[in-house]
Parts: sequence; structure tokens; C-alpha cells
Amino acid sequence: MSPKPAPSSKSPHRFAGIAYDQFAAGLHRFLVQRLRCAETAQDIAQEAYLRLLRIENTDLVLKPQAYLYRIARNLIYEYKLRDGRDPVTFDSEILERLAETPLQLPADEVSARLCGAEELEAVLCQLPALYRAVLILRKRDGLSYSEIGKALDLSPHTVKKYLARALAQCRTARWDKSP
Amino acid sequence: MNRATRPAGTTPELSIAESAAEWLIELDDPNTERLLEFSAWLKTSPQHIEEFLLASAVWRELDGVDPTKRIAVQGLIREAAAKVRPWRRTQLRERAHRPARPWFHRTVIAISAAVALAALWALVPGPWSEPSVYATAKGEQRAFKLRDGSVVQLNTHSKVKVRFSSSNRDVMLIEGEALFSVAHDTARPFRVASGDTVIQAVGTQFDVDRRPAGTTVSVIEGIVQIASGNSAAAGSSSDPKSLIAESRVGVHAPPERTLFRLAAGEQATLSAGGHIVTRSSPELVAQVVAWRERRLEFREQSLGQIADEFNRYNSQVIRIADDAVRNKRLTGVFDADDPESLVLFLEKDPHIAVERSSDTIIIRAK
Repeated sequence: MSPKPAPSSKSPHRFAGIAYDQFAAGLHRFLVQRLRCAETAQDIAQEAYLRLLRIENTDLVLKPQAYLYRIARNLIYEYKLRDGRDPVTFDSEILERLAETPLQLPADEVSARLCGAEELEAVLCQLPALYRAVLILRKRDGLSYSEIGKALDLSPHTVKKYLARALAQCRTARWDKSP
Repeated sequence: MNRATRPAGTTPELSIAESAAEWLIELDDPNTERLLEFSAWLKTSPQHIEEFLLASAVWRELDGVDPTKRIAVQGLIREAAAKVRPWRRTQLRERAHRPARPWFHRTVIAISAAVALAALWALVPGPWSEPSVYATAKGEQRAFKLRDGSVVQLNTHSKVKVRFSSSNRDVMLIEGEALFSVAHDTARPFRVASGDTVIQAVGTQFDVDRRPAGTTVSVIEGIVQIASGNSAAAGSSSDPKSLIAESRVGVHAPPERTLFRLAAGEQATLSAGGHIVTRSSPELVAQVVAWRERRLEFREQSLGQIADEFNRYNSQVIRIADDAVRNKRLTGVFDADDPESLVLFLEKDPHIAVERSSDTIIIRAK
């Protein structure tokens, strides 16, 4: 038996696809900040849209999610350079390391995440109990959709619906709380 | 694009946010076959892209949800079930003038209603409500909120039976360990029976750990009163109604044989027969409840004790092959779910050898 990595490795990451790994530090932090500063992100979404349209359809459909994340990351990088803001939060080396060991996050993302944790908890409390239950089972306990379905006596399809509703509510609540 | 100019009360971005969330959940399933459809959706408008990125950010943020595992899913399911009745009524009214939403699937409603019936059974009012039993499996921890607002946190492989009346709040610790955060109510003493020992509190926080050899009570906040012996508990009946015999009688009636009071920061261990084995003030009683964070803290404890403690949580059993190793003392903090962390620690010791199989870890002297 090989030694287990650190305890936190039991997170739901193991179910995530490659695209998810690519959704790494800089992009996440940027988007969380964006919940406070809407306009830059709208610019970025605009530009990402234009770039996405330029990609050959055959390429895009293979990995649409990964493509989008890569475009967004590059845009944020360019934006930060242009803006002359403090340097680059996107770092391809970090990304590559993250892809290999997705849990060794840079310290600043960890702290950003801790700051968000309280807000997130407040948002969670507003969700209906069943939404909270599926969310916890998926994100904290790392169960698959069909495992959650078995645990709650729901179809995997219903589990997905509840998760999507929960996620949409979290996102909207985060938005509404921002100035 | 300027959201500030939108009329108040309309949130046109909401539906896109919802579809973005649905897409993200769909793609979270590695077997999805809907990539083409998703590409088309993304290409619909910049807003779709924006919402999908935001949904991704929030989804990723949710990875860090409840790191200390304080949220009890079973409690949420019960809560959801309890709310089903009003929810159904609203939904029926909605149906009259709107198309059925797919997630109100008929089977969900049927199941929810069944669960609601079960929940109602637990809430039947009366002088004596039927006792409720709460339990955890090996390795599981859960918190339960009781009707009076008190919270019981159950450690691994533990079971309590709860029965409330208008004059008493009685809990029987059948096995394992529980932390009680008692809601203040002077009219209804909160009592915990663990074997022959009865612990009574008004509003306080204390931990009760029941082992075959006896019960350890640790007080984190407030004062508890401990009674013990046959007069405090009528035999080993599993029914709290008879277990705490005087519950029906007086509102403030204390257990008959009060042995002593225990204050915050104090800890006492009582034998199965109700005799005090030790009474002390450990440096930090709060450490007693480190289990809530699934941490196991040891100070100068023998490897034998440490192995027993890990074995409470995990199906992979740690066995210690010889006595010299069993009595070796260690100090350290470990993740209760991860016996491997202990093994890694022990492997650094040149005098210890570790053998592993799929269900056992054997520790012996080198």
C-alpha cells in the first residue's frame, strides 16, 4: 500500500475532469473578486466570447470547458499586464504543478478561500435543506451523483437538478451581496 | 450590459445563471455526451460565458465547504422532510398557472411525503413523546438539534435515545461518546444517563464518553451535577422513562443520590458500578472534544491507547504485536480518519516495524 497523501486529498477533486484542474488559482481568484467589480469581468466575457467564436468548432466540442478556461486565463493575464496592476496572478508553472497535485494551492488562494468561507456559509444557510444536503454530499463528502441518489432515494437526474439549483442560488446570493 | 439601469425586481441574468449552473453540473459528470450542445450554448452570448465562469468560480469555492464536517446531512434530510407539507401546497397552486418544473418530479414528492410522515411521527406532542434514537456508524460523526434547541454531537459508533416531557429532558447514552450543548431551561433539567451514572445540567456544555469500563464526563462550560449508583438509575433498562426514575415526579427534583458537582474545566471518570475512579482538571478540557474536528490528540499516551482510539473510527484495524511497543508513549495530533498518518509517524522510529494488509496494520518491535 502506498502512503496516502495529506488528509485534505480526500476532497471531491478526484471526480473532477481535466478541465477542472485547469480552472486554477488565478482565474478562480479573479472571478471571486469580480463579484465585487463587475465591469472588468464583463469585458473579459465579451472578449472571451469573440475568441471562442474563432475556434474551429471541431476543436471546441472536444473540450469546450477547458478551452473556455484557458481563454479566460489568458485574457486575465493580458488584462493585468495592460492594467499595470500588480503582477501576474496567473503563472503557468503554478498551473502545471496544480494539474499534477491539484491540492497544493498557492498560499494566497488558500487565504482568499478562507475569507470566502464565512460568506459562503451564510449563503448556504439560505438554501433549502435538501439542496444543502446534496451539495454537502457532493462537495464535502465527494459522493457521485448516483451515490447521492441512493443515499437520498432520488434519481441521479434529480440530484443533478438540485445541485444545479443550489449552485445557481449560491452564485446569485454572492452576487447580490456585492456592492 | 449595464446592470444598474435594469428595472428593479427583474433579474434577467437569473435564468442564464441557472442554465450555467446546470451545464456545470452536467459537465462535472465525466461521462457526459452533451459537449456539442454545451459548445453551442456557450456561443450564444457573452453573458452565457460570463455566467458559466462565475458558476465555475462558485463551484470551486464550494470545494472548501464545511471543512470540519459539522453539518449533519441526516439532519438536513429530516429538516427537508419536515418542510414538505407547506411546500407541496405552494407548489400545487403554482402548477395551476405555470408549466410543471421538471425538478418537482413526481417520485421526489412521493418520497418526500413518506419522509415527512416519518418526521411527523417523531414530533408527536404529548406528555411523553416517543423516544427518538440517534446513532452514528463507525467513523461517522453527526450533530443533532433537539426540539428544545440543545445540540447533541455524536462521535463515531455512538447511540443516544432522547425523550422530552413537559418537566424533563432525558437522554440515554447507550454507547459511545456525545457532546451536549444544552439550551437553558430551568424548568426542565437536562439529564444524561450513561450506565449507572446520571449527569444533570441546566444550561451548559459537556462531553460524556461511555466505555465498557466506565463513563468519563468532561465539563466545558457551566456546572453539572452527577448522581450515580442504583438509586440514580433503575437498573440497565434501555428505556429512559424508567431509567431516570424520578423524571415524572418533580420539576426540580434532583437525582436521589447526588455525588458531586463538576464545574467547567473539570473531568471525572466513573466506573461501571458508579464509583469515582478519577477526578481531575486536565490542562485543557477543550482537547477532550477535539474529536469534533476529527482530530485525535495524544499527550504521553501509550501506543496501545492510541491504537484503540484509531480503531474506533476506522475499519482498518491497528494491532500491536508486543507489549514493549504497546507501552511506548507518544504525543501527537492525528487525523482520525487516517491511520496511515500514525503509521508514517511510527515508521520514522528505528525500533518499530510496521506490516500492512488490506484490513490490518500490525505494529511490532524491530
